[in-house]
Amino acid sequence: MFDDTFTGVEGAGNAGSAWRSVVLLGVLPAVIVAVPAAAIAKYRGSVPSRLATHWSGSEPDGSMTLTGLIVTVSLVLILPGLAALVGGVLASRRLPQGMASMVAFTGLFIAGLGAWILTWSVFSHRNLESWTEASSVGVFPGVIASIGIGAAAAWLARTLPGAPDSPQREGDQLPALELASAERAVFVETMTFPFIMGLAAVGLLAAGVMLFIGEWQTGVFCLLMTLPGLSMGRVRVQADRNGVTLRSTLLPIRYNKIDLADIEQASVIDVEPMKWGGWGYRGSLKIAGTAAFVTRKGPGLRLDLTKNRRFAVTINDPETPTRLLNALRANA
Amino acid sequence: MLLRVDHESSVSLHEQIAGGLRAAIAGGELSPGERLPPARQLAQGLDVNVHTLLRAMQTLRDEGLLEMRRGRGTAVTGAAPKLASFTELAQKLVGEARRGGLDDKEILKLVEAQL
Repeated sequence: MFDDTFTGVEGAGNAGSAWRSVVLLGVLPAVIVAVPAAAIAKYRGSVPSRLATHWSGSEPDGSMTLTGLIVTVSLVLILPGLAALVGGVLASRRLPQGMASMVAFTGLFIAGLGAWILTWSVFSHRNLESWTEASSVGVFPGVIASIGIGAAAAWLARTLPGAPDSPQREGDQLPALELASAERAVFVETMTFPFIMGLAAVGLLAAGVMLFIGEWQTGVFCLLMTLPGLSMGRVRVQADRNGVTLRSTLLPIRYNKIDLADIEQASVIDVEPMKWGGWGYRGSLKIAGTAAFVTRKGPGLRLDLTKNRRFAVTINDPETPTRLLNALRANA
Repeated sequence: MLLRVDHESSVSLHEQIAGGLRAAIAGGELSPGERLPPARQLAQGLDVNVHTLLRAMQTLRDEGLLEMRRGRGTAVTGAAPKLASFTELAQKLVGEARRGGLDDKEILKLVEAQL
């Protein structure tokens, strides 16, 4: 199975991809296991019999034995995360292109969190008499580190070959827009994402209430959590001689700027959200080689880009930008 | 909405842009309340000066089709869909009448007679 995967990858014209699989399936999981294992081996003798696992405010109010913690974290976070990583990498040919990369990110992010919790728990309990003295600081760096290791995995997995797909519904048949040499054209469509707008509204309300009653930390946290929702709530696609841009209209955020020269083909597709990783802004052109903005199932614009990358966005009128972009590409 | 301009046309650029926006409003591609992209972004795509684009937007504001608010961008007015198609008709009437040799006073008289 391993040999098959490796020769498959190289056969697809990605010589040098074997080392990526080695790092993905060997080095990264080894790090996830070795770091907490080393910490446990070093501090096992100097931690109290129970370790704090839950805090209310800064006071610990829940605890577990070291063995209990290791078993729980391994079963809930580390093993499922690593299983997702290995499964995603080995099954990449049966998944849509780019999906293995997103699965690898999620898997290593979850496993990384587990590794951090174990490592940090034994480290912070070293030389303590009792779990009641444990302080609760230190989760934030673990989240950052886990995002980092997840992004590394996604980057390594981005060139894994995916299932062959046939994107075109009628892309090849759509005639290019007739555009004289002195003519310029711009296509613009604004999409709203009511579900995520609703979520953001609830978040804003919660933030307001928390700030009003003086829970400013929770309030600021709620506010920060609504920002991604707000930025995705209303989005505008613009296609013109410079390429395609995707921007949030509620916040000054530009999701994508794709140069015309990078677009190999534009086509009309029926977007299947699960094939692009779900709803909302999914993936990353730089890291995963695949990105999509999905508000619903149904018509969308698909761009096949240089370096085997792809981009999709759900819009109500994908025919016009497809015809425009194919005309602009032909004129360029 | 597809907005296009022909840089070699005898019709001025700002008139072409105003016409394109008006047609998009009349055709329902731009609905009331919808905000237009910032003038700079549209101007870059159309390869025109940003002032040319603003001039087109101002024409539509004077016709009651767009409202321009400082800091909030440019949005299609509630009355725009109804107005846009009649503005187009009025333009056609005036154009035809002028070509037919009528002067502006005569055109005004013509319209008033129908009211």
